[in-house]
Amino acid sequence: MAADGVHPAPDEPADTTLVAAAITDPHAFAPLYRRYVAPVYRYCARRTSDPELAADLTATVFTRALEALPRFQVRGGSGGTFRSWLFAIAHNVVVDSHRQRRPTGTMPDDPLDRDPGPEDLAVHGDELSRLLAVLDQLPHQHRQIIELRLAGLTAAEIASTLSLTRAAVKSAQTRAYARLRDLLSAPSTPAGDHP
Amino acid sequence: MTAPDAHDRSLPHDSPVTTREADTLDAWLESSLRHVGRSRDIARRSDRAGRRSPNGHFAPDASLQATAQAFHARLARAEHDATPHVPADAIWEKVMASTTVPVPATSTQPRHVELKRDIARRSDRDPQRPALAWLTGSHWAVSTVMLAAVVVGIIALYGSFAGSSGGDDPVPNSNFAMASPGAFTPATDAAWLQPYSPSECDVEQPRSLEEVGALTPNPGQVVPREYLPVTDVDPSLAEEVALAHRAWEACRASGLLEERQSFETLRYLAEIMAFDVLSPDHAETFDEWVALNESMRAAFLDPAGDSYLVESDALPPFDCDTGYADTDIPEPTSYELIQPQHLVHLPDGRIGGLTSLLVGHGYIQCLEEKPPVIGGDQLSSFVYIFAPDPTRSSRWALDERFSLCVTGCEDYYESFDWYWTSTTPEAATPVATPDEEASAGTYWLRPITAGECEVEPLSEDELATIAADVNDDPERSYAPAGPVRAIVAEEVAAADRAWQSCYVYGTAGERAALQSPRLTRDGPGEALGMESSREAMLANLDRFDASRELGEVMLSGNWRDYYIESDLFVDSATPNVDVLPDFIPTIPIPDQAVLLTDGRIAIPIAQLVPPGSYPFSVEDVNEFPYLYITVHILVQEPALDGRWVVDETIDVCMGDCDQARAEIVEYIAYLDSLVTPDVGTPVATPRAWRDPSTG
Repeated sequence: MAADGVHPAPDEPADTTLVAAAITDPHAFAPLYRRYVAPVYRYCARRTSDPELAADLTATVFTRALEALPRFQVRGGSGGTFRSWLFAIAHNVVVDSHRQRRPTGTMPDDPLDRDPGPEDLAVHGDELSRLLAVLDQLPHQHRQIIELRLAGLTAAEIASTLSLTRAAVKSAQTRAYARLRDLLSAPSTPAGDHP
Repeated sequence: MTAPDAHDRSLPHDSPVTTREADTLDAWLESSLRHVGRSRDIARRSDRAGRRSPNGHFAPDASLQATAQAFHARLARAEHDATPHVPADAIWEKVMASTTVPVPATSTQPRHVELKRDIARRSDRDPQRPALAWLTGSHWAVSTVMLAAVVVGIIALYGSFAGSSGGDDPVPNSNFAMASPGAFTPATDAAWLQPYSPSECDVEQPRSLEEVGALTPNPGQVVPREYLPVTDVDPSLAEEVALAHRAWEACRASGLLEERQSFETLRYLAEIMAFDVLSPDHAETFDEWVALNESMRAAFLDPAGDSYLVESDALPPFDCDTGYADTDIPEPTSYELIQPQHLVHLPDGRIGGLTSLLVGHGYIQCLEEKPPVIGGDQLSSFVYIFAPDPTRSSRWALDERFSLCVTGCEDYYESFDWYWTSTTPEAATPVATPDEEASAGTYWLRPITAGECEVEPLSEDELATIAADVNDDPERSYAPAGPVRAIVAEEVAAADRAWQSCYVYGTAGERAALQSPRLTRDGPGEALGMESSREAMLANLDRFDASRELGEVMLSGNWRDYYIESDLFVDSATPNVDVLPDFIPTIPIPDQAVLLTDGRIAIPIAQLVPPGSYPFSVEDVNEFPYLYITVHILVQEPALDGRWVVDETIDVCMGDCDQARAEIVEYIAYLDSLVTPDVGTPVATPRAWRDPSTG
């Protein structure tokens, strides 16, 4: 299991090892899937605010990745990794979906009818809606960068995913967090964990 | 949060951020992101906040870090609480249901047409059923092996470049002995399927690195390229060309660079990194590019549907489960060859053909019995085109080489669709003020940093060699030849940014690696209007006249486009912020790059300025009816792997250039007035004339 849901633990095989194996053995794709399904799903959910659509898009991302795996190549020196490649696919899949449909609003309280009780869901749904609404107020590229950050990508990987330079990513993300800080400090935002 | 102290240099919340702050925040995120999502109390981690930089003059904005920290933690917790379990199983089922990739667990039936085991033998192939047809399935393994071979070839190519000494090569002379292919004398068609041996690299007079290094981008008179329609080749001629290819491959696999170069034309050596007839760069539209590829496929693929995958005894048997893993692959390491019957005559007189790839026995049967696991239905191979080499007694030598899609081309074509959809057809004007919303427009407006000086520096010896070898100066042209495709313009802009970065922050070796030998020798010219001697001003006038048309074509009508306000500058009037961050504010504008008639590319240089600090007010602009804009001119340098390097920096006039020219002429006349008639040389420069200390 990944140490944090994104990065492999020291005793786990690296992505490149799994990719090499997955090209010749589909079973080796399963660990890659398990490693990245949660961050990809959450990335899609943040971009669409629709858990069902996010699940569909996540399936599309992994389907495309599976089929394109033999063409995957690590771009040395540019921050390109399997993770950035996968999220580049996710980025394109989400963009394609945006072209076809409009966002359906905020995340429902009980998207998958799971464990939390109604009261918990109401509270957390509000919190999630509020945070996603804050993200919505960011410029498009800034939001993309923060979402990829949340997915665990490094600046180099984000640069590779979005075809930007590292310097551009760093600069934009700093502006993004500055804007986020202002938004979270606004009177309409209830006091929370933020400083 | 830590209370600010007297040394706190934090930015106020509403102030612009610096690149240094961005770096600091990024470093913090790099280290802390791993914990987000698994730790609910991450918001209490504040030990990194407020840490000052070692120089004591700058501290990152701690509240930004705290914001990022808190936001990540809050969102991760909210998402986890709202959706504690990602529907991984349900998603996996969708993936399995929709993928076209056969997966053993869900797909037990072979998904491909039956293969013929004797597919490798031309005499046995069934003309009614082209062997090529089976390649149209998802034969990942074919693609993988072919790709591996291509990669091995490319690595060998570059490896042989890198591994050459270059220091003690024989001095070239004009009496080259003819290099003949080695001992390979095939008697039958089947013999052509034998892998080549190192002995086939039989070269009496290699082509030295000095000879290659002296090449210009357009060496001598070369045959204009013409590819279609192709015609049959005389069998004896085809064998001669195939032998030349075998010799070239043998030299390449043996790592004999100079021997291999003797089987390459000067044009190939000069263009090795630059020219690709099937590059998207050569087509205006996607459809045009596809049509070009399809025409080439029709020309170079055997109309009988011959296979380009050939089983050979020379390789160990191929095992479906282990491949070649348990057996060492014997030398030579590459098994690409050209079968003479695959060669065709091009209308320009050259001869070319698609390469075949040798594989071990069992490989094709393996494809037959064990369906490929992963997709990858795209297969490409290389076309090699040969031409008589006048420097080698007109022996056939490699003149051009490009990759051609063999099968699965639809997906291959689609993968290039972005090339046309992502470029803007009309030249964009840079925005005056970078806008957070205008991400695409601001990409090239970022300042140049020290980090962009990333290049392998030339050694002192290489520097000395370059300086000594620049003897002939091809005449420069400033006449515009046409627009530059966006992807090339961006490559040129990136090269210019790297050069500027190395010019300020790098070493001489790094700088020289990004500029032409001529610029290394001469150094950048002085800005127009700053010269002090009559000769320099006359030279300037010539260049001014030569670049007039370039200015009219390249530069937009608004001088303000070249003074771009950027909020990346720190407001130096605010007491609690750092001084200007370390960056170079002169940035190339790729949208306005122009191709020159001598093959070089000119790109204008804009300047970032702090907000509100345009050098001239709108009211004052009428007092400056013309303006000189710096333009950098780059060239592809064969001595530096064909990369784009800066060749020249000039100033180009925009606005009322007639007046600008009149002022230069007037200034020259003024200098003339200072000339002593008897001697005919300037007796004083204007600076000296105006200097009170000189009287």
